[in-house]
Amino acid sequence: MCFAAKGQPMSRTKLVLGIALLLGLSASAALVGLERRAAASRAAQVSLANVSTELTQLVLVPLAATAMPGTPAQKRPVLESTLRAQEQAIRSTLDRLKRASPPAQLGEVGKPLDAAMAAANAGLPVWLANKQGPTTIKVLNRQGATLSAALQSLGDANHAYGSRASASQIEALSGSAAVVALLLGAFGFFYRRSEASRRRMNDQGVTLRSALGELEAVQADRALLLQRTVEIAEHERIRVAADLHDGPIQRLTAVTLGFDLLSNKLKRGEHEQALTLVEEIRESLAEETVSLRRLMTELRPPILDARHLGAALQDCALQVLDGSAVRCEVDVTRASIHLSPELETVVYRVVREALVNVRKHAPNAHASVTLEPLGDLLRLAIVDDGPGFDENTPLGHTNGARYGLIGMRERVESVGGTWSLATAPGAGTRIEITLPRRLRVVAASRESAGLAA
Amino acid sequence: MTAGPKAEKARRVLVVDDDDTFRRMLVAVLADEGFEVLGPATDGLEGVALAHALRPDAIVLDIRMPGLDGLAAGRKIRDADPAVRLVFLSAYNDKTLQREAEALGAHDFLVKGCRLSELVDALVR
Repeated sequence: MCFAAKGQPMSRTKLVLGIALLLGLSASAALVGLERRAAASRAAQVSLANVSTELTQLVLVPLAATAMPGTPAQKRPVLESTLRAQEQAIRSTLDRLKRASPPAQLGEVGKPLDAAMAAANAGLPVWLANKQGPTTIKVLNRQGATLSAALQSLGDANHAYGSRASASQIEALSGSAAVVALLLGAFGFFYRRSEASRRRMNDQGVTLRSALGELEAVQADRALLLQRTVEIAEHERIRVAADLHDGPIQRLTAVTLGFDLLSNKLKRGEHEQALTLVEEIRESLAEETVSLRRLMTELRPPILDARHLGAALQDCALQVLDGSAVRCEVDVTRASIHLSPELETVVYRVVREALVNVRKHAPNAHASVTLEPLGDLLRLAIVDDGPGFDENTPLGHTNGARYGLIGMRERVESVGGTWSLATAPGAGTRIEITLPRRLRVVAASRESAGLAA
Repeated sequence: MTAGPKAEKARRVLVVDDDDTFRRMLVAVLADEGFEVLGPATDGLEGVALAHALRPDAIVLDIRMPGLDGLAAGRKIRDADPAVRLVFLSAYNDKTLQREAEALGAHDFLVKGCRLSELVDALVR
């Protein structure tokens, strides 16, 4: 400055311009260098991203074996060739990057990369066999683990390049994201395969559990049915025992006393009194015969065996309603079917109980008994247009009639049937039951037995 | 079975049985045998009441009856009158019931259908 000022001084403006030019050139050179380095870094990162993609594809190559047509022997050379080409591309890219001032992290990529490629090569025969099982899962896990490790190394290297050229960071991140996406895609593919299998097993498990649940429910129903059947049978035995005690045993023991008395009178020569006593004893025995026949009919109406259910129901209506003003129609013409003896007895007793109720509570009613087929079931309806009653009336206020209804219902349900009651004061009464139909062979075998006897 | 003080002179007999036919015949037979038949009672409670009121020498009791059964009635009667002769005449022939009857001091336990002579013996022996 001072020199310029003393001698033939340069123009101040020229000096400033010169310095600015130098600075500008230096800055430009620096910028160009920086841009070159950034571009190199970006290129390296793109290359690494490509390696990541290629590596993922390399691992995926064996999976193509499952989709390709042809035998394993035909697929193997094609797939092996693809693997080799892919591997070669990866290695050449990495070599190129190593030669161009790589970051320290790039040196650590080699081993995991080799492991991933080895796993891919090892998986080829397994995928060619296209079998699902422990071996396939083992290979799958191995490939997943090695691929993950290799991609992690590549990601680290990518990050190192990124730190040298922060402008490329986003691209690096994008590359990483792409790698992660591919990774997820690859594992998703594997997962779907195993998931499909698991879903099938789950579906089978659900079906089995459902079937098991239904089976348990059926067993519980059968146990309950058996229990109720045993209870009803026990109640029936108790009732029959009481009937025998109160009826035949009392009358017959009275007859034995009568014979003792008769004997005394004959010994004393009281012939007139003896004759009177004989007549009393005879009358008593006749009454007892009627009583025993009634008990027998309640246990198993003989007409069911002598004729059929329809005739038995007609007979039942005649007997129960004899002497009453109840008019009753019995229609069993459409139900020309043989039931098992148990079901016949249930139908007979239900009808009898219902008609006894009609006679008792609706003495001037018009009633009907209808037995008809209903699909695989039988429907029995006993209807009257009598006074009806309030279904909600407590048990204790019905003179025992409700107990009869309960017994009727239990009897029906004990053989797997349903029972329903529809009534209201002034609206008549309708009792409807449905029963399962037994096979004809059940009734046929009984009839055969009867004929044989 | 034990024999009470009235064992040799049981001529007044109370009949307790809920079955009309049997009771009617039993009354006729005992009357024919020369017993003075009291009552009869148609259930256990009535039997207890008539036993207290009529003081019979012996009582022929059924076991299964509505309300108070024969064994329970016999126990009450025995408590009030230890000397009365109790003869059970039942359709049941269970050993347990026989032992219960014996335990309360019954003179005999007969099953319906037995010979008349057995019943008479039980009342007068």
